[in-house]
Amino acid sequence: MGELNGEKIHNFWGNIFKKDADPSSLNVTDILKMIPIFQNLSRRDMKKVAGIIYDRVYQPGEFLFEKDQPGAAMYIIKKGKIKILAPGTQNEEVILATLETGDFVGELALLDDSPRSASAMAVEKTAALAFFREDLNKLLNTNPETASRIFKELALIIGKRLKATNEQLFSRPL
Amino acid sequence: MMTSEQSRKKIRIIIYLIMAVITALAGFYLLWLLRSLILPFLIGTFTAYICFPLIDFAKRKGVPRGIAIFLLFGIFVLMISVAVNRIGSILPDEKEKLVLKTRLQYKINEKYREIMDLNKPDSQGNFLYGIIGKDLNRTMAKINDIIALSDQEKALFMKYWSGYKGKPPIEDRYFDYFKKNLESSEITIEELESEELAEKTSSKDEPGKESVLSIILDIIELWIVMPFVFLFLLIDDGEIKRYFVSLIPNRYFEVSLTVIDNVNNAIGNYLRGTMIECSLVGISSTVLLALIGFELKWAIIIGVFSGLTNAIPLVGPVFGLLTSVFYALIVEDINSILPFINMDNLMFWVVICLLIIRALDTAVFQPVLVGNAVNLHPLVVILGLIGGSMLFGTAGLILTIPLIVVIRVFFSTLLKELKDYRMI
Repeated sequence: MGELNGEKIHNFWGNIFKKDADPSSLNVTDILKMIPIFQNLSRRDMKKVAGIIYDRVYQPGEFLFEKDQPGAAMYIIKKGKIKILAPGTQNEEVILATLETGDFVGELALLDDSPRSASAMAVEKTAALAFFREDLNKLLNTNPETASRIFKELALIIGKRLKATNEQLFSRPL
Repeated sequence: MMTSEQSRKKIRIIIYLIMAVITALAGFYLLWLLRSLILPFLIGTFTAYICFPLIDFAKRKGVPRGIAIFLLFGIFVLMISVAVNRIGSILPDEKEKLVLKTRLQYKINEKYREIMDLNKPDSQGNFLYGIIGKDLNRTMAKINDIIALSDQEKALFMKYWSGYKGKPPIEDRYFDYFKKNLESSEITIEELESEELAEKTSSKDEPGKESVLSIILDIIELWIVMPFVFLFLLIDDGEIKRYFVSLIPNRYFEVSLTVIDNVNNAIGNYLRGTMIECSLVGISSTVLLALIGFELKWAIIIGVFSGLTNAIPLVGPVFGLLTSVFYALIVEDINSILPFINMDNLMFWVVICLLIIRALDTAVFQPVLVGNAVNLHPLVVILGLIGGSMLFGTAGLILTIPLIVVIRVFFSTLLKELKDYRMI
């Protein structure tokens, strides 16, 4: 007997229906489904996006991108771990966040080429998927509906972040 | 002490370097061996670049990519066949070429005599002729040497005059021109009618036929590459780019893709802009020249030629001008819908037409369609044209400048991005 969502099920059926919890063993389409920006895409659209995504492997210590470089792509971590670094007040490196399998970073680069606000460095051997702004723009040209869904989700994510920042700002004592 | 990782890295770099040098040498050698294929390859590539937005447009309208490519390829092949067919029928044949050359030589000499006031018997010429007459005569003699028919062509002219290869005989007035042209030549009509030269020309006919066939086969063998390159590039949905990008180290991954995309866009825009610009120049030339009374067939030929050569900065418009002026020089009568244009002021109107076209191109077509991508140094243009024509003849003359612009766009974009990414 196996267990799925807390329910005990038969081993045979469990092995067939159980979702693979480890994204590293999933294909690109399945990983994209886990990312909010792509969640509302149909299977067909998802395949189109999967076709324009680049697979990269980073060794520990290698940068996915560096602070102040023009942003060109968003990265989705397929397997591994990266840390987001920014220089502190004393010019020392401050770890802002650690991202793992299934997380994504650099999504604002999908909008324009403003300089990156922080660096992203692989902590361990990391497989990442890179989604380029220019490819998204081309998608907007060839498949406007698919691209608009992605842009809408991106706008929602940015809106939520802005809301959260505003709330944080107003909750601070004056 | 060097760690094993460091030593492995060093060995890796050496191996990569050796492989890069071998690949570059082999690449250059292969390129040299296949140099005759470069031109059809380039034309196929340029045409594909021009067509990419059409594929995108079809996809946006819901037409599957495969069907869009099939349709475009069909149109491409159809256009080539029609162009080859039409150009073949519209271009002057052997007899027409002989007549054209004869007319050109006669008219140039006639205009010269007219301008220098040498037509009247015992005339000493005008003031200008009195000053630089000797130099001008030498120049005219050189021009005559260049445009005059060769002895064999003269013999062939004689044959066509009396009817040859089932074609109607050459008109008498052109034969008069021919006789007038012969006055400055060392050969006489009697000598031309002699059997020796006639035999020479007829013995030239047979091997000529064989060589034409072999030339056509050679051309087909060479140019068959073009539609395949065109098709291959249209079918490719980014696989070539993905393959090369997969070879790029992570450090240069983002910058490389940015450069590839920017270069792609810039080249595509330049080529599409140039193609539309040249087409507009060609169409304007055809319409205006037909309007002032050029025979439609010749207005189209000159228009197509002016459009094609317009891709060459500086020199291109001069070619267009020269062709129109030469035609205006040899034309016998015109049929303009504008009543005030006649044979006497035709040359003036030709120049006005060309000035209008130039003004349109400089003020409207080029700034709107091409931008400043073509701002090349005149020396680069001249050297490029000489090199291009030496390597590939007339086609090289037309394609060298677009190729130089493509290379320039590539390097300027590469340097800009490398600076933006703080790599240099």
